[in-house]
Amino acid sequence: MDSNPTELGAKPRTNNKNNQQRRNQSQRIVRKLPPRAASDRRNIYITSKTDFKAQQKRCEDLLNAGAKEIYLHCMGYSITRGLNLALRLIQNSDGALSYAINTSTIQLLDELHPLCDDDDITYRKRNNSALHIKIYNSSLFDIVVPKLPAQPTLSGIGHNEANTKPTQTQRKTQQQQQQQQQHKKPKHK
Amino acid sequence: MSTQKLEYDASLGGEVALPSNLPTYHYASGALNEIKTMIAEAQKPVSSKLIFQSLPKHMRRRAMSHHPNRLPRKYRSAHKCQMAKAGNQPVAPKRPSRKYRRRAKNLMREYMRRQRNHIWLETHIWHAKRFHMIDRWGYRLAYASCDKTYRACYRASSEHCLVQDISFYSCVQLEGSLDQLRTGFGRLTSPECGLGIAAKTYMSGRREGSIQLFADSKYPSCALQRVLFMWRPEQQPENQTRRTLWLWLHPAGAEATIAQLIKVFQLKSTKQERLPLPYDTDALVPSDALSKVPLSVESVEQQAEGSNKQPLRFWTYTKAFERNRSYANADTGLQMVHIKHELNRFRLTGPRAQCVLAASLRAYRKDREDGAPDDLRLGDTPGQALEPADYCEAALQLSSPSELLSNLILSVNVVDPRLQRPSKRSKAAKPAASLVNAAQLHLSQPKQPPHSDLWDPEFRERLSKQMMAQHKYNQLRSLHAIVPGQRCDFEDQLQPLPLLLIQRPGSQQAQYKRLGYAAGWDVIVPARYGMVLWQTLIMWGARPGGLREFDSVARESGIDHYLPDTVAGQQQATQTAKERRAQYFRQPPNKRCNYRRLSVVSPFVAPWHSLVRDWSVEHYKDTHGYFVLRNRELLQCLDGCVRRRQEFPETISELCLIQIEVRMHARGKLKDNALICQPTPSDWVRRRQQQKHDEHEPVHTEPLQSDLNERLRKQLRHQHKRLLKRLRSRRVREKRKLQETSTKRVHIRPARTGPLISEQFAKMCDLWLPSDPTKKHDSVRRQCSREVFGYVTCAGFSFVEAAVCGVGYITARGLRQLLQVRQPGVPLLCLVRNEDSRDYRFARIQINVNVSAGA
Repeated sequence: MDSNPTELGAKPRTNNKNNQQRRNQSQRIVRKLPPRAASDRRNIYITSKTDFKAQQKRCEDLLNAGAKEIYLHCMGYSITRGLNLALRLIQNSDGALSYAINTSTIQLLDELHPLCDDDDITYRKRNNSALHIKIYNSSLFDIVVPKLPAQPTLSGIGHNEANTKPTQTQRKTQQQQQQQQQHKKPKHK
Repeated sequence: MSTQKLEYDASLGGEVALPSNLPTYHYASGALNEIKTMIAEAQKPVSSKLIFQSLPKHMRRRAMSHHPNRLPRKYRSAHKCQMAKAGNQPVAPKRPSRKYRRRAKNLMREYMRRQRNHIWLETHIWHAKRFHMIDRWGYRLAYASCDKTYRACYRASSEHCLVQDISFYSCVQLEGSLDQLRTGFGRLTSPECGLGIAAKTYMSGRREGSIQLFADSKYPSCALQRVLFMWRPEQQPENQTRRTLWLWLHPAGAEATIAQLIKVFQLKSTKQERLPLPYDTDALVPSDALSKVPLSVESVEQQAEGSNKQPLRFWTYTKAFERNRSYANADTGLQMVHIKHELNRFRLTGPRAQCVLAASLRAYRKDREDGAPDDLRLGDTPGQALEPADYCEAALQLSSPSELLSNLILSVNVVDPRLQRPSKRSKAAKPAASLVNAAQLHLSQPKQPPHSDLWDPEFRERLSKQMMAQHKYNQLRSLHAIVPGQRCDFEDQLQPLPLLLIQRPGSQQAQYKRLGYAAGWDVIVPARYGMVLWQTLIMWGARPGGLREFDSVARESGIDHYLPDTVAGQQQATQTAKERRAQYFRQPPNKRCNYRRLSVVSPFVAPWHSLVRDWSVEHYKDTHGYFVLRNRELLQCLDGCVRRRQEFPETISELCLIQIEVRMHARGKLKDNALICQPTPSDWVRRRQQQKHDEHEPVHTEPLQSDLNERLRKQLRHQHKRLLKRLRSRRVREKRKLQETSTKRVHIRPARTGPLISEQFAKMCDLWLPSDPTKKHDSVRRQCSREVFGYVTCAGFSFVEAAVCGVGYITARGLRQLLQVRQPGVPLLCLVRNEDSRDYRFARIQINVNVSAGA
């Protein structure tokens, strides 16, 4: 069974209409890789080909491993997919995660490869809408309390722990249990 | 004059009449016999003496038979041969000490000796220490790393940077007028396969192109190979008549291609030239020939026919040693040079190739002493043309090479790559935020095409001559470097290095394979600088790969380097067939799978000829042969049929094979040489049932056939064993008889059953294997319970698709039949079966439109 949920969204442009036009044209359209703002592990680019479950697991693993925030970038047809993924992540987190969304327009450049010897290669510029979803851990648990400068510190680590403890006790017990569970996971790994 | 002396004449011996003519054949036959006996005598001297006994007394030495070194050198090998025959080995010469062997002079001599059989690349010694080396195409090439790096190399090619030395691609330079080149290559290729060699987009020299070559006007059959080419940018725009061109040939088909080029352009080798001799001057060597410094000059003078008023005189000029083979056509002025050992080509694959190149190449700038790139002025003035060096730097800041113009050529002068090495092997860092936008970069291309000094042969020679050797560099560093790792003054004087960077776009069809996979750069480096740049690339975190990665990257991107109708493909197929056969018969009989019982006709090699013969309706002639469909329009039509259910094109030839990608759905492993078969209606029913119950069993299992040869084999084996036993007992009896009469101990006679056994083995092999379909005209199409219409050539697990994928070829009529029975709502499916298994499974078919994307 396909694990992808059915998605309703704008269909990609590589449909019959374009292809029929292409046959009459004297060019072949070659699309290029869209530019990436940053490419490290925390920036996830959503594609329509990758398995939905796999993408979800990748995000969850990153968050469980202690990443404070991850960014989902999606463009064009995969925007619906990105939104679905973000909502699923937040739904599964029981309120631990929040999100912020930005939209943008991405400039894409297509190459028009000639089909006869006399033409030169030309370009076609087009724009595509993109969505950047930031998913971050909204819990207060991670707030770092600044050290007081006046206190003489014999053992900095022990002091930090002592400072964080009162903040924990103020919180609701239910949430605490959940978050401790979440927080412990990476330590075991 | 004394008259007493009698002369031999009529008065003495009677009248002797000399014949007016002599039959030469009588004489010749006599002479022939004499020569024959002389040769026979020379080959097998009758004298039973040993070599050292035949020497004159004064040349004999004590214990000469024991120490061959006491003999004159020319007799030594014959002496050793005699001694070996007699059974007593002379003293084996001691292996010289390691210290002696590792002396620079002796080491180099040893290297030269080992390079005689197979050519070494410049990075050979580096690779030989770390890689398994194999002989391929006349070169000694790195196959795969001794470490386990298969998956690491995939990761490098998809996310980091994989670097391979592909200097075995040979470069051929053609120089001539544009019209000649265009018409000549027009005969070797076809406009149906894509753009020609003189397409406008390639002529400026900004982009590298590739064309498919066929034998002279034999399109579509007799394919040679895919050839990469690049035009030399013109120096002056008005000088349009004479252009230069580099062809990059794969070594498997290089000789065949060069032979075709020679035939088409009517070239002659310049190794031996016949030059007219100026009549009035006595000087033998003309001024232009003097510059070439001939090593041996033969002069042959010829008297022309009497009808000419001036007697023409010629002399033949032979070059004893030619570094680069060159050919020329005197009438048209076209020249061809096979450039060898002058250019290295490194292939970098993967998105991080950008960072690695950016880190290891620093543009050489005369005006700026520091050479540090200041902030790019791209943002300030969009659309303004950049300097080539700036453009190159900006291009290398993009996140992936595939964002650039496809097959772009860049020419850069860089500072010596030795100065750009990190102190420790480290990953090249990414630019923090890329300031450059790909769209802007396209608009601000440099005005002039990429001129490079590498095109100039004299410059190349000078460059490699003036290169500071690594040893010298190290010596100077140890002298001048006060703080280790810091720069020295002398390093500024190192000569700059011209390089050519060629972008490779990778996968360009998003439906077929991941967009931009296998994108990267090719770097062309002049001779002697190969190792210098290679080490710098490695130090910046590029992962070295070998020939195995060459194939695995091709398989991951769904292309085939060895199309079955090209020279390289046929060569590869015969070689692997031989290996597989040997492997099969190395196994014990109970571990071999019986192909007769599995009803597989041709287990080791795909029988394309018979397959095409069986599927063609018209009377098939062997002369035509099969060919791979490369016509782009037709392929696009077929792709439309598969994806969008358009009509099947009628114009497709019956002899063509169509390249496809096969992908397994859920289970099942695909191996090379698997059969691609047509499903029957019962298979579709079975599939539906299986889907309902979520089963993964094979859809159909081939019923086992009976093997008629099994009894024959058994009989033969028993006979053979009995025979050997009888011979053995005969020898034992003989020995016993001798022992009775003799006082000494008698040994048994050696068996000498070698020929008998090998004959038996050949017979057994014939009985094991199914008969060859080309000889016996067995049907390949109806060899088993499902109709076979294609074969898989290379298959394996693909990390890109996370599935077992393979490249195969099917016949056109088979595809048509498959399309007629396809089920609605499912992608096009076929059945596949490995040649050593009985299980049929469904697999998905995709047509590769861009057949020869990878050269």
